[in-house]
Amino acid sequence: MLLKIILNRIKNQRFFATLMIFNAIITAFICCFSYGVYQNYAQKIRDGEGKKVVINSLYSVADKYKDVKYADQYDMDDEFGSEFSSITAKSLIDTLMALPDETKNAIDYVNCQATMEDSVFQLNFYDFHFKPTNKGIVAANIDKNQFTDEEYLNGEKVVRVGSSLYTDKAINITPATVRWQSEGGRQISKNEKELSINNEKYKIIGKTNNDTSGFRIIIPFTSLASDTPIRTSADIVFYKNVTYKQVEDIKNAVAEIMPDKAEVGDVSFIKTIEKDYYKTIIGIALLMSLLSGINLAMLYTFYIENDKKRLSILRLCGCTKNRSIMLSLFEIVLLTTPFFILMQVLFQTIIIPKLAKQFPYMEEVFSIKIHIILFAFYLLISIIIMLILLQIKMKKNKIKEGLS
Amino acid sequence: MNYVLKFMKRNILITLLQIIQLSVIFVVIAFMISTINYRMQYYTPVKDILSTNGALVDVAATGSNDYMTDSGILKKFPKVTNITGVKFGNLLSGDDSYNYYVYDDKIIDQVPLKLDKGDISTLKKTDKNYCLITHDMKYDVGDEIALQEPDEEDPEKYRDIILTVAGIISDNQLIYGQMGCGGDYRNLYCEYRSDDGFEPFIIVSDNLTKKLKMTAVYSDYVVLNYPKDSYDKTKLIQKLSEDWATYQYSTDEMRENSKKYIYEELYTIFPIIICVMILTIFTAIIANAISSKRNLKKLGIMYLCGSTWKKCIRLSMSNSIIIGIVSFIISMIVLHIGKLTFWADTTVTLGSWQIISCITIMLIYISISMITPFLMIRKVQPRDVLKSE
Repeated sequence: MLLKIILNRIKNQRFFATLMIFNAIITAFICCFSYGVYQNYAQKIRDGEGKKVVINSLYSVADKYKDVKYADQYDMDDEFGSEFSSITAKSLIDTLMALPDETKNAIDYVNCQATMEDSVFQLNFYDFHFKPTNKGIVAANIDKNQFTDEEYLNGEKVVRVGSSLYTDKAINITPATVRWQSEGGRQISKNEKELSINNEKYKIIGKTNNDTSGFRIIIPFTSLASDTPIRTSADIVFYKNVTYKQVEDIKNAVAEIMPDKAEVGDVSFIKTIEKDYYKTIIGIALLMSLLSGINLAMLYTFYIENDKKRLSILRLCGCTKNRSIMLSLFEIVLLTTPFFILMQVLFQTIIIPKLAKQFPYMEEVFSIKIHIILFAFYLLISIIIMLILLQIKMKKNKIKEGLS
Repeated sequence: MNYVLKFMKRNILITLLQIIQLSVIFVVIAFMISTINYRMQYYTPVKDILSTNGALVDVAATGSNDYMTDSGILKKFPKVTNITGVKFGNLLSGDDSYNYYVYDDKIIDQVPLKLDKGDISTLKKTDKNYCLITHDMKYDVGDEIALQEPDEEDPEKYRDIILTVAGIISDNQLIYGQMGCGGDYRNLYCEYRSDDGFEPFIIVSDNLTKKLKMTAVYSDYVVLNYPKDSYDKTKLIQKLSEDWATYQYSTDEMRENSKKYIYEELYTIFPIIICVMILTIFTAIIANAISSKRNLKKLGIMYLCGSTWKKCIRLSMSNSIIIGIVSFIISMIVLHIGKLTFWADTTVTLGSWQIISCITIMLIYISISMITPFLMIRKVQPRDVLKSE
């Protein structure tokens, strides 16, 4: 019935229907294109604004660890770095503590790994998240619920164990790096009070918190023996984009503490002038969306004015104000939706591949979910504009005026 | 006129929407032109020197005095017809030391340089010893700075120089005369960012250095231009290497790379330009079609009252002209305020090209407003117009 009404209206109001359909097609195109351009340039800006500084080791010390399990399975040094690098736990801590206070305070966390023997997997890799403060090294915010500041600052030999390791699943858990894979762990008994890690006794203080995998074994970085080598590199992640001065501070600290053991990786700063250019294009994309929105408002105003008489008749026949508004809304949505969706499909299948060269990040940002969100956004904006205009018009015009 | 205003008043909502619509179009167009301009603005001032035979030479490592002045270079390379570069010097202020760069009148007029305060053209005035300084030097426009320069003949002696601040150089921009990279026109510019370890510096005019006998010399990149038949790359490289100066690129290479870089960017934003154009035309058509359709009945009544269709179209056109002018003024105000506030860190500028483009769009808009009612009216009898709802 409703479809019949719409078809009839398209027939009678060809001018308006044509404009609406064209508008739906162009709005769909502009929505998708603007979103793609926005994401493409926002990604370019993100790429150039690193928050991370990497301290790379200069050589491997794996020859000292020939006796550890699986040592025969990997080269001392390869394209992926080294399992036992020239950076030791102490040198890393000293480097971080040598940073000026303002740089220390700007660090969100430091992430590094170490490969060590333990009494659960024989060989295991440990992941650490910590940060330097004026007091010393403490757990980073992501690991705050694992260890207290006191445990970290005192370098206490305490350990938290993944819940899966208390079950018989432990034998199927096989930690691995690019060079080795464990044959499986052993189930930890509930009565066990201690674990042996890196030839040291660690007191079990509980299960790991928020560990979805359930097989992590975590210890404070400060509990490691000073000569424990970390794997390949350490990442220093800042809260905000890293500045030239912060990189210089890290370079100076590395040069002072471990000059022959590590170096700071290149940090590419996006040129401000390029960033400004990208921001301008993002501005164009946003303004294009705004223009599409104004076009919608314009068309809907015209639609409502044209429909005044019909709405008044409907209300005269007993239809409530809200119901007549809903009817108008539904009509417009039903008229434009197929064309909007059609344009989205065309954009995804034909236009995006053609734009891939100019906007390399555009293809990867679009998914069915994004198209649904864009469509929902279009509907929402349409409904809001329509509701506002209908309220204005219907408030002003009495039924009598509408019929005159 | 009164009738046009009355017409607009009766259609206030649509008129307002049309004004907003057209204002946004003007702003988008200004954004678009700014992005295109932005890619060209640094190339245009060096286009001529890169269009003539020659080479970019790095004189930073040479110890030879021949490379420090124009006369020295001409003595060394007699066939050179044009030398382009920025001379550098050093000034002392107490314990602080500042580099100064020398811009000639051509550079002052052509090279884009953003200032937080002041006016770059003041550098050409001779009533005082004007200079431009970076914002981190803590002086303001009009302040006098007491500086010293080592005496040319006796480096242990210092000459006093008083400079008056004519402008404050904005942070985060390309500065002409610094060593850049890219193998194209960007080699002649370097990005100035005070938080990137860039020391404060001063810019003075060439005339001022002559007047005060300041000892600025070439110490970075210099472009040497040759007559068409006199340029021999091999001989030039050989001669340069004798003094530890290095050949970087030929001007031909730099010109081609510059064009490639600029066109690559234009090629990237080409779909956006197309998109903006589609949206602009579609918006103009929608606005005018709706406006004409709404006013058709009124125009029909006017026609019956003795007015001609021509006059009716003129009314529609006057309506569009007023909307166009109001929108233009609004968009210029928005762009101006935006540039000072929320668009400060974009490349949007308000230059002649932006204004010309907006006026062109306004003319297109007015033309569409003339054509649309005509297209609608021509097949319709006034009787049918009056009968319509």
